[in-house]
Amino acid sequence: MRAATLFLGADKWGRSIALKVMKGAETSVLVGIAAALLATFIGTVLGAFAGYWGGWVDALIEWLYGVFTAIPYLLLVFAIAAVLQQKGVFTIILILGLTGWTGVYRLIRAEYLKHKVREYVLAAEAIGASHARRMFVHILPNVSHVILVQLSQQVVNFIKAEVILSFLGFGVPVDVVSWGSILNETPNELILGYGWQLMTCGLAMATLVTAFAMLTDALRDALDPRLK
Amino acid sequence: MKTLLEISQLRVSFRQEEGAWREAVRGVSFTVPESGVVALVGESGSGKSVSSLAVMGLLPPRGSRIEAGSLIRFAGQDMLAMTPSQRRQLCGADISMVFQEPMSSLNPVFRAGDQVAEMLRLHEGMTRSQALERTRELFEEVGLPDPGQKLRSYPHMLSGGQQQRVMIAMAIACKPKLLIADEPTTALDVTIQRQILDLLADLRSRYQMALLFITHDLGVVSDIAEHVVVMRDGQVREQGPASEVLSAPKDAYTQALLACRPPLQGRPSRLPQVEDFLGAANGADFTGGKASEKQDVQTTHQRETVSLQEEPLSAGHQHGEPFVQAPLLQVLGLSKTFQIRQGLFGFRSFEALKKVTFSLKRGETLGVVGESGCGKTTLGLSLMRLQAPSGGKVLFDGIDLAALSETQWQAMRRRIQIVFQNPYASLNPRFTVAQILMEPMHIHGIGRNERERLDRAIGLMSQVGLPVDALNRYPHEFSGGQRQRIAIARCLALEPELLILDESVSALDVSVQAQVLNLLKDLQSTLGMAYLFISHDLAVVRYLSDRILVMNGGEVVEEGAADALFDGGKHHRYTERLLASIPGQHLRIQGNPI
Repeated sequence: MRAATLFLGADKWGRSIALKVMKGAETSVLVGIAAALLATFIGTVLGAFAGYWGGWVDALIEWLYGVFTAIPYLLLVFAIAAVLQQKGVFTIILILGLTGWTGVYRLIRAEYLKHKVREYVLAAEAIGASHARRMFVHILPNVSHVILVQLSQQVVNFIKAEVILSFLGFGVPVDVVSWGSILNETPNELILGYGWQLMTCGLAMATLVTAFAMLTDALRDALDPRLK
Repeated sequence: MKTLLEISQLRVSFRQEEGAWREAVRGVSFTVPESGVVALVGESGSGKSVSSLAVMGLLPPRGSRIEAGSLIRFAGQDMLAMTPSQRRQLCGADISMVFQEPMSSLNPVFRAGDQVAEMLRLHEGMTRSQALERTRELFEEVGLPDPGQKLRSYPHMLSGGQQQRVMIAMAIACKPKLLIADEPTTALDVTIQRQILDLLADLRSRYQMALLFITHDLGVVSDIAEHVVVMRDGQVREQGPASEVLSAPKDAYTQALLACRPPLQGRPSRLPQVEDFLGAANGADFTGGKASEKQDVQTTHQRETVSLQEEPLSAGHQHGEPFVQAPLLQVLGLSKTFQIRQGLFGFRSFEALKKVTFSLKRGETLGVVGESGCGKTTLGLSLMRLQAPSGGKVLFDGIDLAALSETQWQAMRRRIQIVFQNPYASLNPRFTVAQILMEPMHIHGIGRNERERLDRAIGLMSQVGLPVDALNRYPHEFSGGQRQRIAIARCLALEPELLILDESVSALDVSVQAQVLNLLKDLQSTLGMAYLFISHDLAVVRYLSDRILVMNGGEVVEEGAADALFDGGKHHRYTERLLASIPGQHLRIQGNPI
């Protein structure tokens, strides 16, 4: 399987691992970022409404949250996949996005609960700022650091989660390469003692994760006026 | 008398973000004699707390250092030469400390008795039951009611004053030779403050311990201290026996501190400010290098000569003039009941306001005074519809506020505005000053375009005495006094007829408080706004108000002209108790130092 001509070797079909990982990055980065954006968006909006309004709005959204966390993850994935009825990158993004918002939601809800009683929000109400304005112009920038940290974690999680989907058969089609499908191949290779495909893919993932974490940290600092 | 604690040439530096070191305490020397009371007085940033933390060895090990040449000697031992464990033995047993916030200095998950007993077990080697028995005695000694039950209480079950008593019990548990009290009464109500001060004085004489009392309040100092050390910018400005320093201060800054507190007797047309005493050059560094705080002295305020002389009533702004117009604000039987969850299913109702009735005329200032929990803040919030009242009526200019629809109320909002207590919390940290000032204009459609709104914002800035270039900066770049000016400017953007000031100067240093009070007076005389001035500080309320409302337990217990309240005549029981609790009464009677 190791071809002298191929840098970093090849897989069992003789395809260059270096090229596979590079091509796979295209899919994985897209899936990871798009799904993370979707999940964070859903989590933030629901969290903002639940935390800000409280009362029956909160009760309703909390119930939805309860439903999503109560159903075993795999069952939920199956259910959504069954509804979507098709395979592909877009489906993966939807599955991950629709199931992954719960963590962000909890944190943002807590932040809104904390911030809505702060004096600056009260002061905004006193000058006549509307609810929407208070929620998204006043409070949102003040909780953005939580959102950004969550976003970078979600990207990593979703790139890894793609492996599970591939394993379940909901992953990318056979003709598409992604880090998930690469990782899906590696257990069999490891048993045979071939580790380079896992190693290369792992290194690529580590690089992306580090880079993305640095990006969101820099973004957080850039958005915080106190750190200027 | 023998010297117990000697501090000589103490210099403490803190590391700045850029890695440079800045000296917060610059060569401070003073001594505490055995069983003497020394007060360390100064405003925020003066280095008074840092000095005391240095004595206790509580400075953060990273990011701070005590410079060479500093000396801290306790009972003849050089404390800076000790190992950390030797020092720990000393602190706690021979030196102990009481902090400002009793709520945050007690561990919320342990019972009060166990926390005090822990001290005794650690330092005196007592068994648990011995320690608890001794704790019970201590609780009795610090005047906690029902000490047996208080042993088993968790901190949140105690009131603020009781918590501070537990802290004091903990501090005196090992019979220390020196008790350091860092603003122990600042977070407490004035009547509780009086009790704690009396307790400390009593314990001091009983235990023959020395007391190092750190405070910003000269009134408190005059009540308790024998020796005063006045600090500013990390240096000692003046020290000496309390009677001398307070009655005949030699240093200009001490004079300023004494003068800029609103007096209990007489009503000067404006309060002297620190800059008046120190001169412009010296006043500049007062706000930490930000020049704008003194700028208003030169630009916006056309200042007359400063005098503390009492002016005839008619000469002051509108005081004593009869108001003939219809009231601007009428509050009729306003009530507010909160439902507090009790147990799993039960509710208990708590009446924060009980049928409060009063009226306020245009251009008039009504002071609302009372202790925490008396409903004064609820009153302010209810008037702004930030909290829905449970009964009664609020008529503004004859219009019932509760009956207004959202749209009508939105229009009405322009006419009533509120300035909150804490200028650090009431400004959105993510907004620039320009955004903060222009937001209300956007919402209410004031100004035809951005340019016009910006012009108005610039006008507002000079009105409250801030430099125009501050518009592009964020709130955290300003000092407390400057932030409060920004908050006031935000309200002024809407040109309100009624401004509710909810403890708006309480979080500020006395010198800055004087500046803001002067600003409020100036604004009222130029803009003719009515003020509803809510505060716990009788002197401040009296200084600004035409009439005063005294509240207790959600009820108005007394209402009357501001000057009449201090005339020594007959008053409601509660009012008299409040008046008697004001610290430093004889200090004021001794007259002003200038």
